[in-house]
Amino acid sequence: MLTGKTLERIGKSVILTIIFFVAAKVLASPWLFAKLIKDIEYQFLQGQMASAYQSRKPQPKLPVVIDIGEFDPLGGDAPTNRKKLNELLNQLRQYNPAAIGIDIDFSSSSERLVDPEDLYYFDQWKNLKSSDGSSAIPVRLGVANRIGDGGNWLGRPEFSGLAAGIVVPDPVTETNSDYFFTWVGRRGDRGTELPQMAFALYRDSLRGGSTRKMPRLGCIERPVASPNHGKFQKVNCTCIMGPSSLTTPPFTI
Amino acid sequence: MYYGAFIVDYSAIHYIKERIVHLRKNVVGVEGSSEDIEGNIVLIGDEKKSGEDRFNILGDAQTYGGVLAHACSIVTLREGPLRHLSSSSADLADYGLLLFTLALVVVIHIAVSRSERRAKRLDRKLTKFGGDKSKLKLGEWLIYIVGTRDSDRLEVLVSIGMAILLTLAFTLFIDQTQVFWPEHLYIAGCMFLGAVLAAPLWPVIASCFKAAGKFLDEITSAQVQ
Repeated sequence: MLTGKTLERIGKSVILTIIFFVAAKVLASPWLFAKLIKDIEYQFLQGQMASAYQSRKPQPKLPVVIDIGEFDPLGGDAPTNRKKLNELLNQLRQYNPAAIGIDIDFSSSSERLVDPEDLYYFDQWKNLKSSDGSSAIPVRLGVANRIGDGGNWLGRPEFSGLAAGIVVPDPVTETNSDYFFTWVGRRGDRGTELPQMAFALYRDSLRGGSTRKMPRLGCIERPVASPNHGKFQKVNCTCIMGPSSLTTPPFTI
Repeated sequence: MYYGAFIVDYSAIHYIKERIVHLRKNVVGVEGSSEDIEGNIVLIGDEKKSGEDRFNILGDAQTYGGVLAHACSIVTLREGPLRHLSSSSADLADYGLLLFTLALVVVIHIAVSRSERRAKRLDRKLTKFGGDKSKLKLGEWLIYIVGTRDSDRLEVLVSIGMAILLTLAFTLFIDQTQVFWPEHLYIAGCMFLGAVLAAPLWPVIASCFKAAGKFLDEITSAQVQ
């Protein structure tokens, strides 16, 4: 039999535990300091992951980044020199990369091209092959806005397969990314997918007989910018499955 | 319309930045990186571009070219993104943890209460051995340890221990657990604070309950009159 003293102690502990638990849940609720505390937590966890990264063995294979900042001597809004880009891609063909992504905005519509010669180069890059002609090299071109919505991300429907989203929206402002999240992709009004650049390149690179598999990606909740600014809400998303997504469109609602 | 997202791990950003192939003014030449390029993903972009195509990582004052965000996303996909708890599963984890803590609290108090009497008997046995605890069997030793402790203190120790374990599992060992559950810090923090503040706060909370009880009594007696 439990004594009255023990029962009193249990009651006290249960009440205190519930009070502190409710306090924790209220503190974690979106209408208090959630953003501030979440930011601190993200910083802390990212720092933790960064220090763990150094001791990872084997070290992860890193993608190659080529900086073409000096290709555009005029600077400003002048489009990047397409001829030089084509030269670079032709040189890369010799080394047979798994996939090539160009993080430059090529957003076009049938009425408006960033560069008048774009369609010619899109056609070249669509059929890029290794220098011995044995394998195709997938190329992805950046699309930052939706002026070509409805499938013509790059001016014509036949080039929409080259398009990849390069805007990584911030979960709150949706203007830039200073957070952890990146989107897998989005759809045009007529249902044409615009996968995010990294996702598209990784998926393309697996088509070349790689033994790696597509990771299973879960859904993430994001704060909605408007009308409920700052409130966390589940986005309409899908879990993207493994290798089957290589042959069938991975985006389903 | 968005179709899902994954958490990008920016841990490799400095390593990627160190290895960037910078092409000099209009000179195309990537021969030096041929080994890295073969079978690999190549990203072409303007890393130093100013303006909106730059981003920063929380807690890092430096800004990076947008191309590095894509590069880090690729590394994340290759390594396998972290598992992330949705709000319903995080709630489930929170409430599960609450129930577990409550059960633990009840078990501690019952165990201490039941062990107290046996501990007294063991204490008499120990005096025969001159206080040498090594003469006790493991089970007896455990009963003696639990029975001679103050259950409140034991509860504080267990709560602090659980808070530390929770923080270790989901923060320091995040690379091993691969679970991204930011809410665990609230729970661990409140467990820790709860354990430390329970004793000084209880008289205040208890007097609040008493005052509420008295108030209700007065209302009911006034209604009867």
